[in-house]
Amino acid sequence: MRTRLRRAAAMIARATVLLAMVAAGAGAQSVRDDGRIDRESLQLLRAIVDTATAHGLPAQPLLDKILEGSARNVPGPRIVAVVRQYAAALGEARTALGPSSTAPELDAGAAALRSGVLPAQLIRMRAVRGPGTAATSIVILTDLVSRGITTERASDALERVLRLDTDDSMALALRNAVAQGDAQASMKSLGKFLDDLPDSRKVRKPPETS
Amino acid sequence: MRDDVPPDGGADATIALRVQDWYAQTPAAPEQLRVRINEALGAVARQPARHAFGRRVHWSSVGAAAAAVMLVAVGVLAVRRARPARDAEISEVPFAIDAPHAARVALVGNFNQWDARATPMRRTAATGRWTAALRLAPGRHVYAYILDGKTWTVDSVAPRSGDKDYGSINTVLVPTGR
Repeated sequence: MRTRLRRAAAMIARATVLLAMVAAGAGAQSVRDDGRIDRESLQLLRAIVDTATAHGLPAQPLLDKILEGSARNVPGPRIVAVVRQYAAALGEARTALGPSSTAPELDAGAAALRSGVLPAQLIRMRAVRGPGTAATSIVILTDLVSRGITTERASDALERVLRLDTDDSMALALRNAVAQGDAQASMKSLGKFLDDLPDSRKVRKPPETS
Repeated sequence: MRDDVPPDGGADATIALRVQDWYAQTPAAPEQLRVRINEALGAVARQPARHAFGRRVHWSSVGAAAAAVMLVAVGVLAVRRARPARDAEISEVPFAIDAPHAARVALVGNFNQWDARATPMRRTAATGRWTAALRLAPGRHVYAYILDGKTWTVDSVAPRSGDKDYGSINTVLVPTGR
């Protein structure tokens, strides 16, 4: 508990210091050498985060992007571009997934959109997973697409699996099967996995009553 | 006979007449006395101090203190009720990567603010496998490994975060609790 509090405090402190540097007038010149961000970029980043939160989007994924860029010694303008695109993706994800979506869902949705998943495919994920329960399935969808499976194929396959699967275990098994090889092998693994699935129409058939 | 009292009012009417007569005969208090009475009443109204627990205290202070104690008690109860639920959601997540030639490996991610000093990994000498374990809350956690302080890499079989915003992909996990 204490460790968690300490970590949370450290994270808030770092993010606050990062964004407060603008207000304090610190970091007047580029400090890329030690992983920090120039003042002009920080001002832009602050404006992006403020605008996003004013629109009800979660700030944490954006702060994480800033911190990651800083840790990777990425130039400030590049971080600004990434964070701006990510903020837009968060908004698009919320439109697709609905206003009751959780922050992890929006974060996963934004990353999915940035990797090529279409908003309509996020809407389909939401149709099979209620608010607060779609983050894992969206992460899996993103992973499948990242491994070379087309968004349509990945979305269709995952939707079919999720309709049979209440706790994401089958979807995780699908992902694990696909993750073992290259893109071509992934497609074969995906096909075999789907072939081995029980017929969803049979599974969803209501029990007969006498 | 008074006009406002019904003539056939019975006993109640008789009592009412007596009270009215008594009131009419009572001399009005001198103006100076009324002023003094009003001043005294005003002073009492402005001085809400009372004696309690053998000490002169203000009731407003006692009320505030009681409210504060109640708030603290409610807060403590709320925290005690909430804590087990939050702790139950934390899961210990193992991380591992094979890097036999690395001299040091750090685990970085949004759970440690991408700080390369926060989570150094331990090497198993025989296998060259580096491991760490973190207690993570449910959520979407993005992470990577840094070899020898400069090379960012990921576990090839872990779920990928998708975007290559900063040039290379990260991996992602979504712990859902125990």
